[in-house]
Amino acid sequence: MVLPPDHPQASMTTRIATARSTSATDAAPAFLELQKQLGGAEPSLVVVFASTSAPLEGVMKAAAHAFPKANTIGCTTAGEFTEASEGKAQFVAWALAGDDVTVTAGLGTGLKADPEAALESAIKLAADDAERPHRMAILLLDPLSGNGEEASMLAMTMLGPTVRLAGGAAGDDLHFKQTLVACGNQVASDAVVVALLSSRRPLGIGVKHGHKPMSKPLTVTKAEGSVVHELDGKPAFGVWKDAVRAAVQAEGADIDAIALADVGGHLLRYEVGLIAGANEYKIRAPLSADAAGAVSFACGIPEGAVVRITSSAESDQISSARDAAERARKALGGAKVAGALVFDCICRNLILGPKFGAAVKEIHEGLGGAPIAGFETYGEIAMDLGQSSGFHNTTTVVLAFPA
Amino acid sequence: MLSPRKPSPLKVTQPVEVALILAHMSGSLGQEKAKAVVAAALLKLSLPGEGVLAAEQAELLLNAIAEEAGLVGLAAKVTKQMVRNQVAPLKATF
Repeated sequence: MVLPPDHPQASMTTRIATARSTSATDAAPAFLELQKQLGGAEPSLVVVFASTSAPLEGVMKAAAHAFPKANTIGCTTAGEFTEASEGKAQFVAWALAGDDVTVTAGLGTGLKADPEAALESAIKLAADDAERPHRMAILLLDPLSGNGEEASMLAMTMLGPTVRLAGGAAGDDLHFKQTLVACGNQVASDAVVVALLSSRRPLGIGVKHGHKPMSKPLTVTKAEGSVVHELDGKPAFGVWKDAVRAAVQAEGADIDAIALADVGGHLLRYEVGLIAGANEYKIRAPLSADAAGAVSFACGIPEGAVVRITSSAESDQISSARDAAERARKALGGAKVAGALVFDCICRNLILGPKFGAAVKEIHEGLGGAPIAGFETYGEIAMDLGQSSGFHNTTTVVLAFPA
Repeated sequence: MLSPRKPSPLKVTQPVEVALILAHMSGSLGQEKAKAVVAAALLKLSLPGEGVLAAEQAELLLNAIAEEAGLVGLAAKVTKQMVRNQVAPLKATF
């Protein structure tokens, strides 16, 4: 039952509102739409995901103007969506109101040089609150600082083992020039934003990718940071080609005839799975290969790691999005979903193309029709209690809030 | 209502299975890398390679791995927090 806004108990109910706008110059109507949906309830958190064509600074100012008492956070993206639509060249906004969740948020800069100091600046610890014992941190970071995975794990150690993490790495519409994060009126690159949420009831995290192993296990025998030079003692690109040759041929292409500059789309179809448990793979996205046979990834893979090349059927990419949503919903322990934030990899959009909208629809339905807002990331972050997988690629992360 | 949170333990206080440490570290490093890192540290510290470690041995092991640079050290720091707080590893499902 949804209580009318003037009902005495209405402020106790979690309300989530979403809006989108394609206007880069007039962001105000989207925030008026949020106000309307919230029925006058004051939000504690407003989140903005903006394309590079909708300057983040202006959108954040409009958000702060509309909701002066709320914590406002946001970032640039490689695509944005709500339950109503998905697309590019727009911004989406999401607001959380109600008495269940309290929020503190901060931004830290200098992520590349000193991630610990940047996180220290960003982490505004909430006061202990016996009525709201559950802790969740939303992390938004600049991936072009080059240490997204390390920063995520560092955040986990600094926040402590009882704080769960969900979030994403900002995008810039695939320009790879500047990715921004924002908190209040601060907008910065080489930065990280941490919003710490304290809630009466646990929030739900769901994580799922749509990849299946297709090669035998392969050991990373030579690697430097995010560049894998050798697998099983041989040039990595050659090993990858051997693993995918038949599958690519079945699609009507010849992997040996494709120029290095054009191989990116195939690399994303056949990504690498780091073996993290029995039949569980943490996905690592290969972005390019060089003439010497090295493959560059979106994040680091240590020497000695064992991986398998994976395939990613479109149908699996769509069903995995629903799985992530259903897992987040299930984690609410039977409560109705008020709404969710979604961190979904741009690589999934590149794989699915025009079918990406179907995946967004599955997430919405998997959450029982609750409102959602999300963005296409350069990396997804999820850490649950006892599950420190951290930084993912080509994966969907859903953070659900109970009604 | 504000109330002080229970302070986090500063040391491992219970015996810990090597398998539990591996389960925590596999989430970030992958199974094989986690096994190799833990095995090398156990050998260096002359600790038993499997079974249960005493609390002091587990603390020693995790502190030694936490000294390593990059992801390996960070994985050990996260694991140390989990083990000190007796958070059970969840099965990786993604």
